[in-house]
Amino acid sequence: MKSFFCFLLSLLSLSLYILSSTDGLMKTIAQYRFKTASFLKSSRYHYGDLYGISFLPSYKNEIWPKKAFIKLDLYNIQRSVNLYCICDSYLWSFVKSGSVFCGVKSYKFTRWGYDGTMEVKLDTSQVNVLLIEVAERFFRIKSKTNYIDKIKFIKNTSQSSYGNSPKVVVTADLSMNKEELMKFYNTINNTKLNQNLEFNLFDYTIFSCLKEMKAWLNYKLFGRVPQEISVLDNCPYLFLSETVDPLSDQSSFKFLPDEEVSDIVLRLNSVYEYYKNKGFKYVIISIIPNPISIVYPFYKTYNDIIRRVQNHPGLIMPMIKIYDKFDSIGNILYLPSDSHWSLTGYYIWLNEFNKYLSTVETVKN
Amino acid sequence: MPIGLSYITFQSVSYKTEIYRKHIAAERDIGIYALFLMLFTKVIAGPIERVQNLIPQFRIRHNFDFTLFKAGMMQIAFGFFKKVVIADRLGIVVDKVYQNPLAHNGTELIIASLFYSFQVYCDFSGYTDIALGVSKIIGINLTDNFNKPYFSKSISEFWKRWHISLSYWLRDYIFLPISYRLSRKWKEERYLFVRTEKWIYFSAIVVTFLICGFWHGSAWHYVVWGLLFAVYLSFSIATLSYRRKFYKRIKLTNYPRFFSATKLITTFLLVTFTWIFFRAESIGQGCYIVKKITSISVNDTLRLPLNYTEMAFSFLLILILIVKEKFFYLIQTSNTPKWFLIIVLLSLSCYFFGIFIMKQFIYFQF
Repeated sequence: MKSFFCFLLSLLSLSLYILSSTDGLMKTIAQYRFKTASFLKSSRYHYGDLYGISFLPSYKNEIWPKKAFIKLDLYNIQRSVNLYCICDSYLWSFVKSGSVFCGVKSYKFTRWGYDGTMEVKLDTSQVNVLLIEVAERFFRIKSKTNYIDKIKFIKNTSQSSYGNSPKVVVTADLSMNKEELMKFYNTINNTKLNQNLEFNLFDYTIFSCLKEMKAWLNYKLFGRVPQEISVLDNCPYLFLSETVDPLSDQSSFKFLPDEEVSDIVLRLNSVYEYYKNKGFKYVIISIIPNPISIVYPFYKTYNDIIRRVQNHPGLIMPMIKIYDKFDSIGNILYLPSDSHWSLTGYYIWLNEFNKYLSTVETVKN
Repeated sequence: MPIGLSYITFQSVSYKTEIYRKHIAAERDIGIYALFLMLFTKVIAGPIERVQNLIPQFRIRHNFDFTLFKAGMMQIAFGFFKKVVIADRLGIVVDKVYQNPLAHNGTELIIASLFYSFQVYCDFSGYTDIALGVSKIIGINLTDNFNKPYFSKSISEFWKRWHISLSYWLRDYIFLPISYRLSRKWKEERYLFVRTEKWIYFSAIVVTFLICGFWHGSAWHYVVWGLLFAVYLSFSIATLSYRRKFYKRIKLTNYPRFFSATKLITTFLLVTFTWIFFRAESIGQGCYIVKKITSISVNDTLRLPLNYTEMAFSFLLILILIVKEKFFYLIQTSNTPKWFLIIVLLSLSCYFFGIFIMKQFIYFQF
């Protein structure tokens, strides 16, 4: 009995270790646990990602109002556009299929920082649109690096092959190459191991009250919140610290000289030219404002990066100009306990983008 | 750097030297030898074990012992408390101030330096407690690395209580061999009016602490840290008879408690002074901090990353630590309900007041 118990315990521990070290398995489990309604449900994102980091009880809000999707008249347009998108969680967590886009026949996306290079086989006889969606907090950093390494173009050999899965080039080398070795190394030395173990062991609704009590105690006594989060006086919103700290590149308040704006515009223009030359008929960028830029822009001196870029006389690349609209509507576009927009914010953006797509159709027809 | 490299090297040196000195026989079982070097509980940051202590324990069959389990769990719980509640909380202030000493005034630098003394102790002894506790649960007794070091009344006593396994290793494999060698070479009774045995002590202690400094890191500020201890110890030996006379003359010895407290505080401050160079990123930064500390003023304002409540809480934690070490150094675990209650309280304290920012143990880098 004692041996059996020891064996069982060892087996459970080993399984937990293997599970927490394997990214693929963790991804599957996370997807299941975010969706399920059983006791296995993860409470991390249910009330907003910032709540999931801070567990401050006063910011516990339901973030997914069960509203029906608003169908606009624009959707009646014939679907003939191939939409490619380089996006981040603003779009990715809201857009599950291309059907929400007006006139879009097929939709393919890759995420900054998560997905690898998107393989694209462009059929230039069709209308191909590339949308580059980037959150304001990453815009400045990305403008210093490369936008053009997210898409790998595969030469088109036959017409209308769009929609087939991209071809994967396999080398004949059967020995373990460097990439495989790294993959193996990453499995046994997974940098996310602690995070994954915490998710597997403690990320259950049953523990939420303890986490909230700790968060409340530390906030009330010591004014302490997790370093990733900022709580501002007289503001009912949580913010990502990176967007608030004027020393951070992601901040809305980091000083932005005119020369840097010009450099950003030059970079965007070259990106625009690059993708146009590769065969995209339309290339457009959309910068989603940081929540603090809309909710509390007067906290410090706002660098106004979005308006300064969109109004720059040298900018060739078309842009979805949503900043002014967002600015006039204000708080309701963002969620108090999440780093993303609300459903309203998303709809307003979607409407603006669909208006653009409807003009694309007109031009083609 | 590979995990635990310096600890494994020191143990290997110890093992081979002990064989060379014919104190032990060579281990013929490679498994036992590998376990001696790489026992998981101590591989990362020690203690630096001796063959004589560890290998015999591997040859005994260890059955589960609830008494050892309770003692081990208690040590682990205190280890975590020291690490996540005390060390990592003080570390917030230390990191902020030492990252940019130019932006901080003398008072803030003094607080950060005092905090660092306790941070480094709680961090390292916390790790050691966890390592010893886990070992205890599986029936292995490791050497205790700490014995209330900040209650030392002299620097030499401090080194008998701080990182004990390292200081004894340095004594046995560096200090004593150098001393023996020099005593055989230097035949005169005095050199430059100083007794030869003192010259031998000074030379051996300087070499020993130079190596000790380099062992902590290949940067000159660690060497300065080591040399400071060499200077303290040399000065202490050189002036011993004069100091005794001086204490008698001012009648300090008539007040043993006060005398004892003075020695304790002086030792602590001297050690804290060395930690400045240990924590600083360069000798220049260390010197700057020392210089700035002398400019302390009553008008200094505090701009520290902890609010006043948490600063007060931090000082309270230090006080709790001192009281615990002084009066309850070893907590009895024979009474199971009491043991369980303490474990629960410590666990809850760690959870509610712990700082979980994935901060690595300081000594993992050495």
